[in-house]
Amino acid sequence: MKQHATRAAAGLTLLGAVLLMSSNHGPFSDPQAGLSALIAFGTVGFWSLACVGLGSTLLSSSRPIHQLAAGAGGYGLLLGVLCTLFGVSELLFLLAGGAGVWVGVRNRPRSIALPPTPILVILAVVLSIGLLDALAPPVDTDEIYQHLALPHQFLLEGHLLGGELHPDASRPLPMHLLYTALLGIGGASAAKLFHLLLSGLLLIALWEMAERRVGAGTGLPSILLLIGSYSFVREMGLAYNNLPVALWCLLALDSALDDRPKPMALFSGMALAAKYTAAPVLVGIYLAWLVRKRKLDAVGIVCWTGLALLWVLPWWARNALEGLHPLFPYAGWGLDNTPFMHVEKYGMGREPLDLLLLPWNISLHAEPDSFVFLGRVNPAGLLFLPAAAILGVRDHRALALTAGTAWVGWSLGPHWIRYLLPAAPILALLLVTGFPKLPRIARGALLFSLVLGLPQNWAPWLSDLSQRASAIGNPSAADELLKSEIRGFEAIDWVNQNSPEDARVALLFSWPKFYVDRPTVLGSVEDHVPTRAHLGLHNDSALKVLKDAEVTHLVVAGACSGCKNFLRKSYPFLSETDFDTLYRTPERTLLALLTQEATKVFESAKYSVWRLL
Amino acid sequence: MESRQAEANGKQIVRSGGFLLTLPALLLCVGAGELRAETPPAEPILRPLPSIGKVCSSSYLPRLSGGWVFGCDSSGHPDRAFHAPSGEQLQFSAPRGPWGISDGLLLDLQRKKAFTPGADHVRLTPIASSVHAPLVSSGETVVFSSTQGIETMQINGQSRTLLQNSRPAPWYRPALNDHGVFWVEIHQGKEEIHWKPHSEDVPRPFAQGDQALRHVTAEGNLVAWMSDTAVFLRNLSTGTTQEYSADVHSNEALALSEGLLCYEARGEYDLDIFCNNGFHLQRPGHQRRPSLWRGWLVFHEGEQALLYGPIK
Repeated sequence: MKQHATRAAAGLTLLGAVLLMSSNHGPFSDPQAGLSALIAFGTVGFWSLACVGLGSTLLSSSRPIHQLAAGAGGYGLLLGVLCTLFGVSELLFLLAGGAGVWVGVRNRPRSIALPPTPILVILAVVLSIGLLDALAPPVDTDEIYQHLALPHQFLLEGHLLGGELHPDASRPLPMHLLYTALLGIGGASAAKLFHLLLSGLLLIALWEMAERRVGAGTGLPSILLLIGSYSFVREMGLAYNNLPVALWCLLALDSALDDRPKPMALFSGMALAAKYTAAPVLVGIYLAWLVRKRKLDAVGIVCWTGLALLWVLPWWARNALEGLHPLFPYAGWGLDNTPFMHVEKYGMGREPLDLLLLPWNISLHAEPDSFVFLGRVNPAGLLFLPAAAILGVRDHRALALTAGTAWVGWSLGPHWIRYLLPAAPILALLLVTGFPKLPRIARGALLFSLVLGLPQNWAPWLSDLSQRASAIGNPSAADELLKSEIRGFEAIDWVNQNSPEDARVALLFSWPKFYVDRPTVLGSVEDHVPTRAHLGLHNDSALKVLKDAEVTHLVVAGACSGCKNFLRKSYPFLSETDFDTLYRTPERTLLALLTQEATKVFESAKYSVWRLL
Repeated sequence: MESRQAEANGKQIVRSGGFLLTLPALLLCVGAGELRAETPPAEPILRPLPSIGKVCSSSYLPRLSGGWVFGCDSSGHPDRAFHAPSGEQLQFSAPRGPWGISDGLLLDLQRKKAFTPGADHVRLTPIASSVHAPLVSSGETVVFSSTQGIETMQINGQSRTLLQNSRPAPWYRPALNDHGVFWVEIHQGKEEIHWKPHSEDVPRPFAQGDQALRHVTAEGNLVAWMSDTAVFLRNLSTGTTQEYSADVHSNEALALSEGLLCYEARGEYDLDIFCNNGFHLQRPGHQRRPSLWRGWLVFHEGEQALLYGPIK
């Protein structure tokens, strides 16, 4: 009887919450927004259970967090195969997710071992702030250009995309397919909430691993190192892939240190498929595994590397079958003089001394809105370094080897803090290795220094959030937010309102694909490689190629007098000639072609819409 | 280039010869001295415009209107003007909100005023609409295109009028003449010209066709518009329409002043300026975005605006 009463109370509470959320007097100014939020939460619940279900099949004896993470990675691959075979549809996602839910319910998932209450309170506060981001309309550049834009376009077209006109869709897409499934049913907030969930699980896993492997009391500083860093917290409520990769890397390391090669390989493959920047971390993890085994197991290495590569091989094969380089779009553009990235553009130099000073520079000089590392980390991390080096490393050599390899790998690439995120939890673990051996007052000072680092890390995050938060559940404020925050939104709005239903749009030097309600091609950010490569490859026939691909309209940035998509000062390492060849020539080519083969139908500031003749 | 003169039904076609004006025929004046348009020079002159000649990011400026050539600040808003007849140069505060230029009048909606450079301003009625194309005026009336529809107001008046059932396309300027108000609408993804005659209450289509029709401009009895392959000029008093076939898709506006209609079109080598009196301005590179006043022409060449005239 008591059990029935409890269930009835729970049911009534849930019903009341639903009615409140969707009523005119609810927390949102628009009842539809409340309902949308509820659907987003429900979708995340559905897919979380599905992931646990699939994960429990892959790793039956693992912890729930490991199972959920394995399920997410598993679905990333499974949905890729299913969508390639049967196309992209909500029904397919429901069936695939439903199967996982059925397995999950049948296997009765174990509950997660939660941290103690003070830690939970800290996590709850941080994740609640991230929740605002997750519920706000997407305005982040990478979300509206890629992470949510690709799922949106897959759903619009009903199949996966790829190739020269969809270069971003030619990379491995495990997270993007999960986001497609979430977006299709629960909207953009569902994808962002799922990412927030994975971020929370990452923090719990990090706390648990620090306490278990490094020592009691190290969980708190390890998670504070992450949540006290702008580059980490700014991504929590967004639909990105760096933090899921960080979770998979951390769990792969945990498995490696326990000499459990199967989960190590599975998580490694998932991480690599989600982002190639995980590669140096994974090399470090495999080295750590060998150190832990204390013998060179050649067969094991081949076997478990093969299992990991299973997660990326289908994507490489897909590219190869389409006549592309397996690593396209990172390689294989067919243009020798168009590098995918200029590594010199980021950070504070690449001379040997600059590389040695990287920990100092990244801690004290990183700027969120400039190419000086394009982000920020809590400077207190630097204070943990001496203790870790002197007191911690000798007891945690495998961990140090992984962190060191990841650091060196990142140092050799572009010095963009975002690319360090896959290694961030492992670096945090290493940094706290000396913490337990310090006197109490020193430990207190270190914790206090982490708190002191919060203002300059949280200020830019909260500043961005304050603009977005007012748009949650308020359609008119959301409209204003999109107009003010998304460059070229007026042009996109024109396309949605005025172009024919069967229009196909190419985005040239522009990116807000997520908001285009028509099939799109190209789209690019920052160095605009896809647009420049298209113009470089096809020159005078660049627009004809687009027309042959049934493109009817173009959204173009910078097609006006004196407008420039590239600032010379951002490329000081290029000669005038190289800069002109790489950046100005494509702009001139496009302007000349537009005059001949297109007609302008809309213009707002730097952005214009053209109809191909 | 071939021009055709036709009646509204398009049956009567008259060929007319044109004359070509090439660089050697022009007197290129590079000094910054005065240009006396009141006593037109015997030969046309061509000169870069002092201080305001740089083409602006809005591509609408510099622009000749009512004898003034309007230039821009670094953000592309009009903040300076050069008086073509006298050479006088003036600077003023650039509008921060919606603006427009017509008949030498700068309309500044946010400051609720309209003024000819150097003269006292007149008052505009405050509005709450979201304007999405440059404003246009003709005499005492200002017309603007907003998200709500086409709206008109009287200068120094107290009210504004929304034309019900008008759905103007953004960016395209509306037009106004003695007979009515004209604007571009998009239906099924294709532009067409709509209008509301002054004598009627209800807007209706003015010009529709297989091709997209756009960039309407008007004065007196005349209204002009274009497709990708032709420019049209209709006299509403006589009902006759002239059609000038050319590759004109690149135009971002048509220039019409005292019956002279000019536009950019593909010439033998690149884009040139053509007018309906047979005038053809051909120089190396593209000549684009013509604007007119009493036979004087301002056009853009690369990132430089030039003044030419008088057109004969």
